[in-house]
Amino acid sequence: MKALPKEITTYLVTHALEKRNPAYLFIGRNNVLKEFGGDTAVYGIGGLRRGEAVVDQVPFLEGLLPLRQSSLILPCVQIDTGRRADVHIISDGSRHWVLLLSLVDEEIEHLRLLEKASEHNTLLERHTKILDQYLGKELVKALDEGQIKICESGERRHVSILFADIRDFTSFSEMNAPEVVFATLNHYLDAMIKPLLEESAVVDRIMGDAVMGVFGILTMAVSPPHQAVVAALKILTAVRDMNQQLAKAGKSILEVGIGISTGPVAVGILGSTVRKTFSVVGHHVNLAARLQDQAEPFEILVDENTFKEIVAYQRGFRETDIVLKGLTGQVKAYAYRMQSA
Amino acid sequence: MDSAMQNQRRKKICVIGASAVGKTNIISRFSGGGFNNRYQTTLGAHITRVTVAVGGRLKELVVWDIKGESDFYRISPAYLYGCDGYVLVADGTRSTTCDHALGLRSRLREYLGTLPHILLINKDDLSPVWDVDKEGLAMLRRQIQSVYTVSALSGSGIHDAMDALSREMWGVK
Repeated sequence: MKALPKEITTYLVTHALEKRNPAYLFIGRNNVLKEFGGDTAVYGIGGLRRGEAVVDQVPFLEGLLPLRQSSLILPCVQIDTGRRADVHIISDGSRHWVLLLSLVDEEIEHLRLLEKASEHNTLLERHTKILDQYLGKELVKALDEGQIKICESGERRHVSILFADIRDFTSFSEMNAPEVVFATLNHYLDAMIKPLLEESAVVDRIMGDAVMGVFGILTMAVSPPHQAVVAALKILTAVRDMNQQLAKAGKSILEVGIGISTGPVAVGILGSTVRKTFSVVGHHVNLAARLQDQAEPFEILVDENTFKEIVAYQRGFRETDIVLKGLTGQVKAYAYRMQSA
Repeated sequence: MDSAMQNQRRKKICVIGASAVGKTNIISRFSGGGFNNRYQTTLGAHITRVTVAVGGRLKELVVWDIKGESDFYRISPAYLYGCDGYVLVADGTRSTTCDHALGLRSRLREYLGTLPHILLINKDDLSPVWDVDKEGLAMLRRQIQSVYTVSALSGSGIHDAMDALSREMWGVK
């Protein structure tokens, strides 16, 4: 460093040390404390005794002495409840100086700002995970990348709606402890939701013992009715397999019924200014829910629109006319029944 | 057995991991304190001392709680100087923090060589919503010998894990 006038050096030293509570320890051979001075107390270092081992008096130096390099800087160190300090350790080989300089407010503020940024990152990670859980990773990715846009005021879409419901769950929940009810419910919901996400549905709602999936929001090569029926078959297979395991273990088993309807619905964002949610409304939502009400255990009931578009699966379905609550007249539906065991 | 190692009264350990995985609350539990529900970030490094019983003798751990890593902050290697062992911490509800812990271990090995260390996967109390499943845990255990699932909220698992690390550092079976 080039020589500077004494006045400048004095000013720089004063400026650099102002508000920084300098304190020092001078450590001789064998790590014995030779001398100390400055504001050691503000750093939580007190009762120092010259001529005794320094590490017993200042335990944070454990492992740091003897220093195997000429200097070491430890930024922003806090000892117990003492003031935060930058710790400088300087060595000439056998003797050491430890210099403590407290952090000024601006430095602490800077560190807090950095931390705020990382907290926002963590928050973003958590929110993405929550969105993934509610909407499925594919939808979140598609929304994020702008591949699909959902008009907040609502728009018409041609979709397939699937409702799946656990049968007799009300009586099961009345006969079992709440912990058992929730554990069982989560087990079954897991078996019902995974196939929906695998077939690119948006899981619109989880209503106690029932789930609603919407196919056709995410653009896929396969038609929404095809996706919905494949998901329904996967759900029944997963529940059947799970029931076989539970029955072997002597545990209670439950059954599932499914309804699917296909047609135009209104897709948009519903809610108040403080709480909004993605929503699908329309006749076909109600129709799918009513079909699911009528479905027997391990049965899939689909409407005519759905049936027409699932050519590869039509042979497994039989035609049936049913009367649905809230809808006038008979509705033509098609039923598929899977053996429960 | 190295008797000099066993006679050493005090050792330095560093507790490191990604940001907001619960390092400070784990240390608080380990040192006999409680759980702070309000997240308070660690700036730089915070040093506390904890007395432990190792092989029937009282020893002291100088615990360096080091600010968690993030996209905006990388741990200064200076903090790790002279440490005798380290504790990696991850959050079971954020599997990315386990990947981070593995990455940190690789860097620490380059800087410190092979030292006793453990991996604590925090938030065992939230295990139903963990990102880390059985296969993920098995993969971690293949890479790190001592992996513990712990809860800073309830305190479960923390003392067992720290006792195991202390025994290893002091060479006591």
